[in-house]
Amino acid sequence: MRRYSWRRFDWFLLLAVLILSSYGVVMIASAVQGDPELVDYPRRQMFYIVAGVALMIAVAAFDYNLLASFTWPIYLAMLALLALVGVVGKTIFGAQSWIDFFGLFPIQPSELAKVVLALVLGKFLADRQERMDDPATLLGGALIVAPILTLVFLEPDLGGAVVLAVEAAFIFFAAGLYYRYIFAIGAAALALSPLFWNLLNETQRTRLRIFVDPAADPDSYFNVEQALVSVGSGGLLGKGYGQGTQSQLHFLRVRHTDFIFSVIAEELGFVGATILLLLLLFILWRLWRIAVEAPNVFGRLIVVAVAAIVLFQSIVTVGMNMALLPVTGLPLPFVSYGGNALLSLMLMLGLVQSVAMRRKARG
Amino acid sequence: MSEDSNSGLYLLSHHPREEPPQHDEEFIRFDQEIRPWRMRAVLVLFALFGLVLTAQLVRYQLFGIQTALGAEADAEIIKTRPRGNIVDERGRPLALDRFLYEIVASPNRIEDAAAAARSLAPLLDKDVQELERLLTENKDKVYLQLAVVDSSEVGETIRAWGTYTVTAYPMPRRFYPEGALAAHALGFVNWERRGYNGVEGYFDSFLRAPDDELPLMSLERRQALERALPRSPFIPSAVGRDLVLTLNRSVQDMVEKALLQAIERYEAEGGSVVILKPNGSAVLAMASWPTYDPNDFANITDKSVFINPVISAQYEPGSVFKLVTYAAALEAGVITPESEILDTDEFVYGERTIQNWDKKGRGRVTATEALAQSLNVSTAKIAVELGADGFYRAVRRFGFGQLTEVELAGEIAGLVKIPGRSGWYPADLATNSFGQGISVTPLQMANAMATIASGGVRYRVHVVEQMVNGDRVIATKPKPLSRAISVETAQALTQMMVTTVERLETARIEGYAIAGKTGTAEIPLPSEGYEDEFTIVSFAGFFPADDPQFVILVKLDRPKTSRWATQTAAPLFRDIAQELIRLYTIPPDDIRLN
Repeated sequence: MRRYSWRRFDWFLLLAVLILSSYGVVMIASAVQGDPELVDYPRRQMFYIVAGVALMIAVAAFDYNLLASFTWPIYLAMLALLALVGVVGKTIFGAQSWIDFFGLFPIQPSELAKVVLALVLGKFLADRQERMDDPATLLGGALIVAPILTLVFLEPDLGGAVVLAVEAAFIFFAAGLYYRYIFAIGAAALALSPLFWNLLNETQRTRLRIFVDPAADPDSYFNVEQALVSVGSGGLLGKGYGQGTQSQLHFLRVRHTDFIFSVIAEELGFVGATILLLLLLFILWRLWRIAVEAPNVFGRLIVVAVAAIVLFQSIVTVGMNMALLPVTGLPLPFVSYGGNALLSLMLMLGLVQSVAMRRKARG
Repeated sequence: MSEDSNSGLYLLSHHPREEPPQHDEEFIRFDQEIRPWRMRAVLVLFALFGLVLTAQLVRYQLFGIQTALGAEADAEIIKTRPRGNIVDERGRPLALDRFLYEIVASPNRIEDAAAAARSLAPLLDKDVQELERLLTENKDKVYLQLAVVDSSEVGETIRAWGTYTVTAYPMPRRFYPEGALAAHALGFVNWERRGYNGVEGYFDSFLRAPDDELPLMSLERRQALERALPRSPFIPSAVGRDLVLTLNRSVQDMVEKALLQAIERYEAEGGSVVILKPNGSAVLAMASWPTYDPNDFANITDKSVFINPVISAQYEPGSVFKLVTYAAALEAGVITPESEILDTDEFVYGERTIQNWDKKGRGRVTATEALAQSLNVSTAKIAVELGADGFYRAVRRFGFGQLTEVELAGEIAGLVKIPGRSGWYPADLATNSFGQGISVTPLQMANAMATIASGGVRYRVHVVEQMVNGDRVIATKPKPLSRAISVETAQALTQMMVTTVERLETARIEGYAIAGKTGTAEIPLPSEGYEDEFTIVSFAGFFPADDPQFVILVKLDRPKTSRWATQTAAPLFRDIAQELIRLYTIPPDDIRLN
């Protein structure tokens, strides 16, 4: 009997991702117009989408359960890669945290780390389902997360490290971590936060300070204020595609990446922004369904991890554009310009689809 | 909690650990019956995310939050909201608010039009009969504007009447006491009180008073702030949102006059001058012509004058750009100032033939000589020897093809084609080496000069020295962006530039070592090729060469008396340098250094 079926492939999920990323291309085109440096960004993003979908389908055809036996080698390779590029790479390659795959797709190891963490931690906790009350389970999980998190943090990629932490938290939660452990971890994190503050570099601290007291540095707060003006001036229907004064007159910096949401909100208004949020929510809902229907715990935890990443990055980017959260430099999933983030998301969705194709209809 | 302990037992009995996880009926059943709530919690989180963000969107986009941030929807309120002041580095005002009074009547409420006209006429300097006629003719109107006066005495008298049938509304109007001075750097404020271009545009939301209800700052508090503003007699405005620029009014004025004179003398179509201070890239003066008076922005028909050519227009820099090539080659050790190069009549590279301006080769020349004589062939050979990687790395490190991030609205990045991107051909390396086929803004060029003058470190260009924000004064700190070349390279290049100016009669000043370079560039046509007749001439330099204080870039568009920079841009540079020597009383080198 065939154990998988393309009929269970989540075509709606793929469709939503295609719509959302095309939406992104259209808005990137608006954001970069008139800038000769960035003029071919929309075309490049389109290339990344096509490549990403191909990657997704290729990975989907592959049984994710086969990966379960290789999680340790994958994990060690990942650590080596992060150490090489993140730490040694500083001195040897000159501050480059990128690796060029066949000269085609630049993939940042910290993006890849998100996938690897889902596999390794997911496998570990899936195997220990009957021992979720054992402190050793928690300890083992923490020992898996810590090195990978530290290396990404040292890169330095604060945003990436925070995403990994949130991803791990979701995996633990969905795997059924005991509440007393959840509280214990929360308390420990709180106690260690002063230490964490010391680890941050000045730029990161400034961003957090500005978040608490926006007027502390008007020059830096400028971006957030401009983003707010953009969002605020959009109104119900927006100023029209390509007509946003905030984005077109270049008040917004990094508008094709970090502040793409502001461009959407300004030019297409409440309606455009709501459509974007609905698409993201739809994708999250599809992921949730696949997670619930997953044939085993390992599969479920992979899907939960992916959903966690999509959810968290959306919250942070959209929240940042509305002064709810600090500016971190994370991309809006599927929408922001960047082949790197897009390809790793597509890779993750490939794994999700692999799980989806192996689920059974529920009775 | 108890569910968790059950689950472990449940699984243990039905699902031995050793078996790889597979399609598992038991798992599904267990999942549905015993532990569905964990996944539900995740779903609740998703929903919460949607809810919070939608609520925030509704708040900002559909309801009034945006008015506080200044969207068009509430332009009326903004119209009366005051803005902070803009002053030069010494605290001399460049832009400030002046209050006008709008005198408004409600004719439908006025019972005795004749009496009203009698009391108003002397104040408004109008005819009694005419006023009376105006009031009776508009008897059904609720609102009638009678006049806009700039006398606060008249306005306050009418306000003191305390009647609602005739009122005076104070209205702030932007006022530029120096008229057209530094118009491009300042920008202007329209009738809706929005700032456009320059610092008015860049800091539009900052300069605006934060609230409609003005808890304006008391004089005592403002005077306390003054102590934090060194070298400045300026008292911050009551709005508490002011900008102290790095511009110097006197230098700006001198530069604008010199520029206009040169444009007339050489019959040029326009031009720009930028003066930066090394080691921090503060803008001391920034002038362009044609310009406009921001007080009179509404009557200007040719809107193109609003654009600041120093940051928003690009040009091909020509030979000035050779400095980048020499800097990169010196840095890479490809040449020394004494290296000999064979300067030939023609040099063919990438199917393009490179020639000197007079189509003649000079034979064996030193690198210093090649720069001083501005030889295209030698420069192209140096660039080819250096290689595309090294050359374009230097172009990037000197800040070309990227925004300088100066705090002025409307900056563009120029156009640098780089290897590996569409549109770049190997021959571009040769032509770019002497500034052809590459487009830069005057400010980028000036900052590249400042980089050489600052010992090789490129700083972020800034035009705001201090921001007054409520109770705080925030000073701009010099922000180093990158090291383009080493100190040694910068010194060697400076010496070569000094030799260049010593050989140039139209630029040198007796007694002062000046580093500089001319550039005469053809003007690319929109389609392809170059204009035949006219050129863009420029001169970039700094002095005193041993301890640079001023970096000057001058640029003239299409001069008619001569097409060469040596005959046009160089003398303008010299005029400005001489004025700076006079204004800042800089002693000649031999006196200063002994």
